[in-house]
Amino acid sequence: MKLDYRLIYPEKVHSAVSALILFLVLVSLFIFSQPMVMSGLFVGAIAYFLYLGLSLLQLAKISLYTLAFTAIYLLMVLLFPNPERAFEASVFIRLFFVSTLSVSSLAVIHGEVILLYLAQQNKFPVLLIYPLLFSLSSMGLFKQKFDLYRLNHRLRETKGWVLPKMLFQFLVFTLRFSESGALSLIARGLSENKLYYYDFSIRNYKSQGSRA
Amino acid sequence: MLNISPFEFFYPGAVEATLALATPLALPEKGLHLLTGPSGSGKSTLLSLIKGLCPHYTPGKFTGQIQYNNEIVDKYFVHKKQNEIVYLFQNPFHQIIYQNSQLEFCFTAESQKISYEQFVQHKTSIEHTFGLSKMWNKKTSELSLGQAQRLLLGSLLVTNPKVLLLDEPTAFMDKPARELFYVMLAELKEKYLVLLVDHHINEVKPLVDSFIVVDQQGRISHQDRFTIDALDFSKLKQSYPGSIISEGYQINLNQVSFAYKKNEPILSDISLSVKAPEIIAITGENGSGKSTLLKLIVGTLKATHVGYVMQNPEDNFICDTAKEELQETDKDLVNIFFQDKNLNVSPFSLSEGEKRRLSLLVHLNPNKKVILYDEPTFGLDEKNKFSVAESLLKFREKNILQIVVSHDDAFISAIADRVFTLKDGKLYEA
Repeated sequence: MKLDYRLIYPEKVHSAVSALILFLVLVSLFIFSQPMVMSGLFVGAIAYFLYLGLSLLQLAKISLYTLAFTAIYLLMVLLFPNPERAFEASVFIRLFFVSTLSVSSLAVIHGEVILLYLAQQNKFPVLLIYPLLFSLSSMGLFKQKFDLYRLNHRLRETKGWVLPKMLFQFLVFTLRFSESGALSLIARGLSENKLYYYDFSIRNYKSQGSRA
Repeated sequence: MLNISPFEFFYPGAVEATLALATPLALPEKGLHLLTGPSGSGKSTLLSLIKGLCPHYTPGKFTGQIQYNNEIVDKYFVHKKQNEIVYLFQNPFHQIIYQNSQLEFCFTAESQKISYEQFVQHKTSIEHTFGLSKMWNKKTSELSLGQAQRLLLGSLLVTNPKVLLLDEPTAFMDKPARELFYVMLAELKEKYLVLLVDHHINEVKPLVDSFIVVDQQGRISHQDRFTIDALDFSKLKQSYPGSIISEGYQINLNQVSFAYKKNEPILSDISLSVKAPEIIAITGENGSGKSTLLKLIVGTLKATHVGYVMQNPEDNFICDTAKEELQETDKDLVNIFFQDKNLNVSPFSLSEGEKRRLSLLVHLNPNKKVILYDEPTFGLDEKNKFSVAESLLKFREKNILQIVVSHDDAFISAIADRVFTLKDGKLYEA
């Protein structure tokens, strides 16, 4: 018997189901162009995300950013109209809905769990999933590295445009980092028929862990 | 049990052997064998050869043969006998796969198909020994280097291996964790074969059964006894008494608090007043916030005044060659650290020990008023550690304020004027 994965993800429980719902809603938003239908899909998906743990404050912040993003698009369309194509409000609405839903989903859908679900269900080969997991876990480290490089250039008073130099440093780091990551996977014995102590299957994805 | 025939190993493009063994080496089923030698001599490469990663997964030419229980260590062996030989790399962050600490702990056992019941048998004691339960609610990216190393070591030990290849497992451990680790090592060596690279030779020496010495040229020899060239750190400070110069650079911290997350303060109400030419040492448990404190200090000072030697040597390099990195460094100091060394090479191609030395030198610019060091002796042998201590004391004579974060007690007592301990977010003077 496998352990419930919510034991180790008590705060953020989300699911392949929510990823699937997001995917279906996004596709539907591109199929339907009636504002009422699009609004209905959007409200439904957001309500589901709120149920899964997205807070109203997070939603407000995300909406503000995506509204600013779509407003820029609207401004560009108004300033430089395409004479061959009339302005469609539905495009503006769609852009806002798609961007808001996509960014909001990051708060409730955990990439690590989705990838583990895919690996456990044999939907994707383990040997592809684990390098992806390795890169995903390195995002925090990459940010730290970039901050350190910036600090280093500031302290050593590097002249000129620093960004290309930082990118080169970063490239060297990622090359070496990916090589040692691959060696680590080999050295620790990764294989296609590895065991999983935790169950990431869909039937466990009912709701947020604290509510379960 | 482990037999290594005479061999030579060449890195790609190398004309001379990087590593060479002249007489066969046979290691029994149990016992602790310390791999020792100067930084950059090839100790990690030897471990990599025994594990089978080199030359099967990393490039190089290997002329000999390694046998484990009469089976040749080759690519096939690496796949089939994973759980018998485990290898802990030097840098823990280059091995972490998950964001979730608990999944990371399980990964090795899951990959090696250890049943959950067997896993649980070993889990509790390892969790307790390495204090892992404190890490369960943290992401792996939030762990300090020391914590990450403990997590990975625990993850390997839980598989109950037969041969342990440990490449500086105690490098980032604080003293209490190191003592606990050595107690566990004493038990492990009764059951398993352990090959250990560790620069804390004096601490581990009583446990060691034999020494595998790799010299600067990469020649390997097996010895029952090993004498360390005794370097007296205790008298070092007397050799560089330093002349106190008034009106030195001063840093005052007044009730500084810091937290990465709400309600989880790392530093709280820290007050500190330091003045050049003091050398201040800060110690503390892994993850206590020492590096965070240094970064806070760096962030508030003028770039022209401050140098910051980062924990990972490679983070300090910004030029194409080592020579360019050292353009502003005192040439005498360069000669002390890199005598007869060709510096017209990429800093990334140097050995780990050489990278550490280079990273120290790039910040030792005479115009700096304050230099902060984050674990400056990591990966260094005694001789190089002694040179680093000497250079810090020389810089004190130039009226430079220096703040050092380190776990190395001998190094700290050799150089520090004042020692502070960071515990539960508070700073205490020792």
